[in-house]
Amino acid sequence: MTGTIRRVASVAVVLGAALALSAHVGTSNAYFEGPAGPYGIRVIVRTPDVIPGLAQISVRVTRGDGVERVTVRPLRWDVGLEGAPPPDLARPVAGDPMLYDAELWLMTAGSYSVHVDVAGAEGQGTAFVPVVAVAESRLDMNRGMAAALIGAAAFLFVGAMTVFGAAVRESVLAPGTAPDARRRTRGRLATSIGGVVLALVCWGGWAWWGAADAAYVSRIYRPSSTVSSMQASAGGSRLTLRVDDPSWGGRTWSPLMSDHGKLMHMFLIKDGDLSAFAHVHPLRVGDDSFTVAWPDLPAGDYRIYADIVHESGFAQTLVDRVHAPASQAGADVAPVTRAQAGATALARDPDDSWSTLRPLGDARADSYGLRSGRTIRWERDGPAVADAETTLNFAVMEADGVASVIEPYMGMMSHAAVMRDDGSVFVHLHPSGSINMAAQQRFASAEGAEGAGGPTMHGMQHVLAPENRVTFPFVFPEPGAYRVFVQVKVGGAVETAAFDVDVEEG
Amino acid sequence: MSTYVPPAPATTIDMTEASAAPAVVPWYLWAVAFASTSVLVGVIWDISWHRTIGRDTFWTPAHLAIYLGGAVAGLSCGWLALKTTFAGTSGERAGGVAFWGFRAPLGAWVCIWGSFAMITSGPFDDWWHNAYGLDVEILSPPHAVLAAGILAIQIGAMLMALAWQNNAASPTDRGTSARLLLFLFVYAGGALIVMLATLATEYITYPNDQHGPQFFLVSAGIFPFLLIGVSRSARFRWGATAAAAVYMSVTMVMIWILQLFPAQPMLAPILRQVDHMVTPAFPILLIVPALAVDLLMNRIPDGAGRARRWATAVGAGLVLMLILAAVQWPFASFLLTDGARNAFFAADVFDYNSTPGDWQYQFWGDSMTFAAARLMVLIALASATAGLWWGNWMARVRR
Repeated sequence: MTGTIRRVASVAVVLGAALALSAHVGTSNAYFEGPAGPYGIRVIVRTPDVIPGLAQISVRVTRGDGVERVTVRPLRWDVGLEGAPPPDLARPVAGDPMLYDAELWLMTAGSYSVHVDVAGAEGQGTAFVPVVAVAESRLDMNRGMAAALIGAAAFLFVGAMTVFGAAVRESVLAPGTAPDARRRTRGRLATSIGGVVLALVCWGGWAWWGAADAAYVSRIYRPSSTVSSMQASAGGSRLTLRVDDPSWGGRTWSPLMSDHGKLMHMFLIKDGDLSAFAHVHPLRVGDDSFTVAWPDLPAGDYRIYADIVHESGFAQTLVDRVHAPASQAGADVAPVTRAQAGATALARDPDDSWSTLRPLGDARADSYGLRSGRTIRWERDGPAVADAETTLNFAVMEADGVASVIEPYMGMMSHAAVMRDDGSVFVHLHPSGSINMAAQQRFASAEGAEGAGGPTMHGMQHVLAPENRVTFPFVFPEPGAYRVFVQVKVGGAVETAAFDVDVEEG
Repeated sequence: MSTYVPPAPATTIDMTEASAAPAVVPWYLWAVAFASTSVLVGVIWDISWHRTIGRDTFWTPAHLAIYLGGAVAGLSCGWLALKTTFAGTSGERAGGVAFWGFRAPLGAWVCIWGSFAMITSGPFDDWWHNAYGLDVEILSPPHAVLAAGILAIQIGAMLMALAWQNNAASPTDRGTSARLLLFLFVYAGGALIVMLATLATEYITYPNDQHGPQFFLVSAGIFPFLLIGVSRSARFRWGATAAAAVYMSVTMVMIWILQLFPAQPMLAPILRQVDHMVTPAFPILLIVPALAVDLLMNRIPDGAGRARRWATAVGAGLVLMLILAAVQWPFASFLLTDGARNAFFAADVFDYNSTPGDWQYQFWGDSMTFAAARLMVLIALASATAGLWWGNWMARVRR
């Protein structure tokens, strides 16, 4: 029996390793910072590891007074508010009057939005926080629990055998009549046969458990599988990412929709020392392929993280690797032909950006000097701790120390990517959090609430007010060595900085 | 037709203090009957809760009813075992069976085992939810452990009533206590049918399934065993009929009561308007084939040989399935018509998370086939044989 428990544990370990490279790349938690009507709120949705499961919702009111009530509701993408349960009241957290907590059941896998409603003296406001609900892991059974269950099972097993024996040996005898030798023998025989039958029942139960476990594991989310390849051409090289998942394009998936005007946001990060970074936007060339001119980056192995979002609001990050030979860099790549439409597109998306950076471990300082002479400073608010709400604050300064003016970049004031050194965590962040903006707009539009605290309004606040600071709400999902890539647009050019940070156990 | 008399016990009846017909039904039989009812109501209520409200905790009234039943059965029988072992009269001790040095009636040990199984299922089920998500099906491994515990409590209740019944001074005794004991036995038998039918909800209880092979195959496994076993062991001509009546009555009463309570789904997605507790499906018309089983089983003469008893039981099993098909086939069709969409039959009640559509009033899956009918006959033969064996043993249980 110990062996079987060990087998469960080893399966779990293997599974955990697989997950580190898959679903949403280490975390599917959602962070949102933005307006809910007259209020400013920060929402953290800690999604459950299993579906159906309980999501933990944290709502912090960052702007506005006299909040009287915060409620949350789960909206599944295809039924919206009409198919949502009544709102759940978020409870104020003792000792922090601006913080509210709630729990919500996510019953089926897929695209949801948490509908946050804030009411108080300044009126009422709502915000939509897109959440991807997927089963990500299977809980391991700890030794204490396993021992207790094995003990209980053994007790029940032996108890049932004893009952069988007593039933055959004595139950039909008149009270006071002692069982004779024949009955005692039959009782022992019944005990033995009962044991065999029970063993068979237990074996069947174990097989049933195994089948249920295998069925569950098969439902654990994995991003669509992909194949990446480099194609050399006269003017340079092109990276093509092809989705070779059998389910791609099937009924399971709704079509893709654009996010910040792009169907795909792809991040290329040099493996190992993380010293090269690109944020590019491949063009779709066929039902399952995306291609992009390879940016001018050093040779080496690269990790690929490609964000896409489906019309259901379900966002996923495709994960792959590619090797870029030394000769692959090319700034003047021939135009890409869109296979389906036959139209010609530019080789590079004007919003593509890339940069070489200091190697991992060499960017622990609070300031990162850019080649332009500018600096980006990380204004840390304390040690980084796993699973704790935090704000990543950055300020951009000109070479002479004057505050820079950050310009909008693809509709946002800044983009950031947070990556664990082993690649097991990767999150694409905006000042509004990790939520997918296209998914948020989709949910808000479906409920006729575009103006109710949507992303545009949030972005406009930044656009209208000259600013040299950007902030990102975030929760490091697990301890380890991380690199934070920060991208801002200043003076018409996109600047990229890197910061290394060790995240402690929470 | 003579009243059925169970076969004589293997040894001479020694009418000790414990074996004399009771002046009153002992308290622990009532306690176990209460436990059985509490569990029964709790299980049906809990399934309705999941189909209506969805969201639950350990502390829902339905869960509390289930665990109250388990606790009452375990504690009352545990107390009985301790009292019998350490403070019982010689007669009381002689009326029990030995279990690891303790003594108590066999039914008490079965109830105690059931209570432990229910307790074991609690943390196992909690871990299961955490590992694989909230269960959305009735049958899962931890629920199977819980079900085994619940079934053990129902069987223990039957055995305790049987031991008292079989020790009565006269097999034809119809005094108040004998009638109460008889009632407790057939009630426990009916509760056992309710529990098994509830466990098999996903296979047999929806009328939409009742023209398909699954319904007949699962029914052939369950009903001949239960009805022949109860008919064979009850000191009553209509034991199977009464147990089937209990099954139908309990289910119908739960249908009529549950639908009175307003309720609201609390989980997304809500795919249909539900404003009252969702009810179980209308019970299978089991009382008709059960009547046939009693009529046939009553024809076994006193002192009949094994072959005659087996032939009669197997015949009763096959007749049961034939009559079940003859009755339930048109009744299932009726339940899918407008005539059944009312408070009495409640055939128009569906889960909050089921999409409204034509499927509600259509038959699901394949219809019955000749090959499935042959398999059904084989299963019914085995089930009836096992039921006869079980009934023969129960008719002789005296401790």
